[in-house]
Amino acid sequence: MFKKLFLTVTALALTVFYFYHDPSVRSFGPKCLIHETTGWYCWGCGGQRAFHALLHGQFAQAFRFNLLVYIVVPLLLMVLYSELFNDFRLFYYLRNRYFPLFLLIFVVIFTISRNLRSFEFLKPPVPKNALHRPPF
Amino acid sequence: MDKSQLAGFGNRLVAQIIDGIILSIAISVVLVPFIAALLGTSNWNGSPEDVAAWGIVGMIIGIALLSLFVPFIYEAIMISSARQATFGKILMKIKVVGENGERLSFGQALGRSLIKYITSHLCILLWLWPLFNPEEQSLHDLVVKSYVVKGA
Repeated sequence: MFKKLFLTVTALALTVFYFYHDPSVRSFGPKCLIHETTGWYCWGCGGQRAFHALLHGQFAQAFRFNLLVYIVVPLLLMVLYSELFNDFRLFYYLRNRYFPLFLLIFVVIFTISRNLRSFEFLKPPVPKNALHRPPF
Repeated sequence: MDKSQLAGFGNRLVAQIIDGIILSIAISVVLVPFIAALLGTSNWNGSPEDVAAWGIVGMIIGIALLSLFVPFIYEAIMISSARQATFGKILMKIKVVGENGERLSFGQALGRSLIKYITSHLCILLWLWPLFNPEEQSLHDLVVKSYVVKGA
C-alpha cells in the first residue's frame, strides 16, 4: 500500500513538474558530464525536453529532441501499471533473452548515429531564444 | 539466487526515493548554519558584492561536496552494517546480499555505491538496468556480484 502510494505520488509529481517546467529555457541540476567533457550527445540527451514536448502534445518535437522518449515513457507507464496492480507478466517479457539484446543494439546504434554528420535530425536542436542561465 | 526472493523493481525504486528525501533533508539541515554565516558576513568587510560572490562560490562547492560524498559514505556504511540496508531499504523490508547471501564488506559496499552514482551521473536511464536483467541486478550489482532480496 505504502509502495503504491509512493509510486503514484512520484509519478504525478514528475508529470506535473515537467508539464510546467521547460528544460530548454532553464535547467536545474548538474550538467551532463559526457556532453560537457566530450561534446558528444549520449542516448539520454534531450530526454527532459522531449518529455516536456510530449506532455504538451508536440509529438514531432519530442521525436526530434530524443526518440527514446517513445520507448522509455511507455516502459515506465507499464512498470507503474505492473507495480500498482501486482501484474508482473511485463517483467517476464522484458527479461527474456532477445528483448534486452535488441534494445541494447538499438540504443547503441541510436547513440552512435546521432553523433554522425548526416544524422542531424537525431540531435537535440538548440532553441533560438534559450536563456541557458545557470541556477545560481 | 532464488527468483522469488528478489526485492522487485518497485520496492527498490521507492527505497531509493526515500533515501533521496532523507539525504536531502539531512544535507539542508547541515547547510543552514553555513548559509546563515554567509548572509551575516556579506556586509562585514570589503565590498559586499565580493564577499557575497565568494560566499556563493564556497556554498556551491560545499553543496557539491556534500551531495557527492555524503550519499557514497551513507550507502556504504548502511549496506555493510548488520541490517545490510539503507533507511529506505529498511522501510521497504529489503536488503543487499552477496553472492551466497552474506553481508557485503565495507569495500564492496563503497564500490557498489560509487558505481551506482557514477552511472546515475552518466545517464539516469542506466538505473533501468534491473528491468532487463533476469536476476534483477543493476550495473552496480553486477560489478560487486550482489543481489537485492526481501527480508528485513
